[in-house]
Amino acid sequence: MVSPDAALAALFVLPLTGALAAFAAPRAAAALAIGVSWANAALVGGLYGMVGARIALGGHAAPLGVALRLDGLAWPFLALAGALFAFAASATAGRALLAKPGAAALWLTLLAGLNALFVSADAFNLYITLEVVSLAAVALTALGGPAAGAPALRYLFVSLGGSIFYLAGVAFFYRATGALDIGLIGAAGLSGPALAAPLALTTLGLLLKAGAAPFHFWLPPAHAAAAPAASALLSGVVVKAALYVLIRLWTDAAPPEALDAAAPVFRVLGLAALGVGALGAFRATRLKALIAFSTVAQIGYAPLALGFAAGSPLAVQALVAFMAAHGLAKGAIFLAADGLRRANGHDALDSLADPGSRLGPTKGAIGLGVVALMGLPPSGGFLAKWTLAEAATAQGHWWMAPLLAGAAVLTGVYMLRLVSALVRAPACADGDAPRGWSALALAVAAVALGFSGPMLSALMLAEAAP
Amino acid sequence: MTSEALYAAVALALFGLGWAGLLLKAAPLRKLIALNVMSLGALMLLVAFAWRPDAPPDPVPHALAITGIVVAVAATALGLVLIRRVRADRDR
Repeated sequence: MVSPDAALAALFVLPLTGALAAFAAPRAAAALAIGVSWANAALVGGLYGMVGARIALGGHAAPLGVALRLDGLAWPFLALAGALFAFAASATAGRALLAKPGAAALWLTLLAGLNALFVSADAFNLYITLEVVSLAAVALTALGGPAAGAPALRYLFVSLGGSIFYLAGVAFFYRATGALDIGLIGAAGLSGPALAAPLALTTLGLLLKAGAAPFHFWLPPAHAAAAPAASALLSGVVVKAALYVLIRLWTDAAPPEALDAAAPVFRVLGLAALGVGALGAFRATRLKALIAFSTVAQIGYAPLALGFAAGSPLAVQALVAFMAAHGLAKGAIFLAADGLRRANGHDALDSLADPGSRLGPTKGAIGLGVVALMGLPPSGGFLAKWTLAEAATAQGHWWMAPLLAGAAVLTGVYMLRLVSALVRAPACADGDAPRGWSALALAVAAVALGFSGPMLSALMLAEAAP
Repeated sequence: MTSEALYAAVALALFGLGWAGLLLKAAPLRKLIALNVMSLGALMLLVAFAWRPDAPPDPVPHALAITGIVVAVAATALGLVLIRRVRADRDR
């Protein structure tokens, strides 16, 4: 039996060692990245049995030491990253990206940063991991080609600016509580300006980093310009890292009364993102821009659900389901879009055509991915919407259920611009295009997530235990 | 005014100055420098908060500030490389 200490440490020791090895041995780098991504996925699967573990690194306990904690909130995010990295690395788009110099080392550094972030229980350690994730993600974006340089630079500016806001907030938290551990900050029972100042600074920084409206301006260019496999990771899990820290702070470091007071703001931000993202998706002319704007819209579900999460574990559960469903579906669609683009030789939305029956898995991935993004039953998106509607209705907000149904229709309408390409007359038959099995696997997972309701509830209960 | 309040006020002023520069300056190199000013503001805030009335300064925020400096150096390096690349791509 592996000790929780070793298993949790392996979450970042494994990919970091892999990154160093990939840097030292460029010839074996791509294979190494694929192998480590799959080993990490297996490791995360094994960690399911250890949910509830909390360890003090090197035996140094908080407040001075850095604690790692694997709870019911962390595991779904680890699993999302694990699945995305594994399937995206194996996809043709992933292997094309990993063949570029430096890509494999960045790929594994990004994975190490994300894993460390999801198990960090310490506000400053979260800052460091956010920075590792940002720097690796920006560099990975820049590998998308000559057109990716400027969007990557803007991504860097916004992301670093956000990190510095977060750091200033952490400084205020430390000033008020003398603690960096999120649980200890929460236990200090802050109120008034001593709570409001650090919460406002950290929240502003994290919303910038997540690309939540009205701070979404940088996201579509960056996610559209990156290489397809990098886009799958950026939209699928990297923006979720900032949202994850946001959930942590508001549920663990802040009292429910504070979240209750901020709830209207979060709801408005969420609805604004849904609107702005949909509008951008309607107006997009390129396939990848459409998908990236859909990410802007889907990120809105996080603040929206957070707006109902005061004292409601059900809304947090809905939020986790949204993040996981969107991450898997968006990963699938970005990978499938690469197949569609290769088969067509371009990615202009108006003239995309059916890539032919050989690309059946690609078409299936797009179909299932759209089902999950719309939140049709039985997909993970449906589970998320159902849970959120239930949580909101229990708090007297009956309007959430029709609103979520309306959002599904809106998603369906702009995604139809992509789906309609698949039913146009078959134009092209490029024999080189990948068939899209990795994309299909992710899309199937996004739909199968709809059956994970009992598992998610059990995980959230595991979190509630001390 | 305690020296903590003075240092914290200067730190917040630097932070605000950097943020304004990041928003208002168009040239990438200026934005990167503004980002560094902003980052210094946040780090100086940590240093200010290490102040204790009747004891030597708290070493924990000092350690955080040093770690933050390392991060800022790495981020600045990446920013400079990207700026050069964008310029090279544009001139090509």
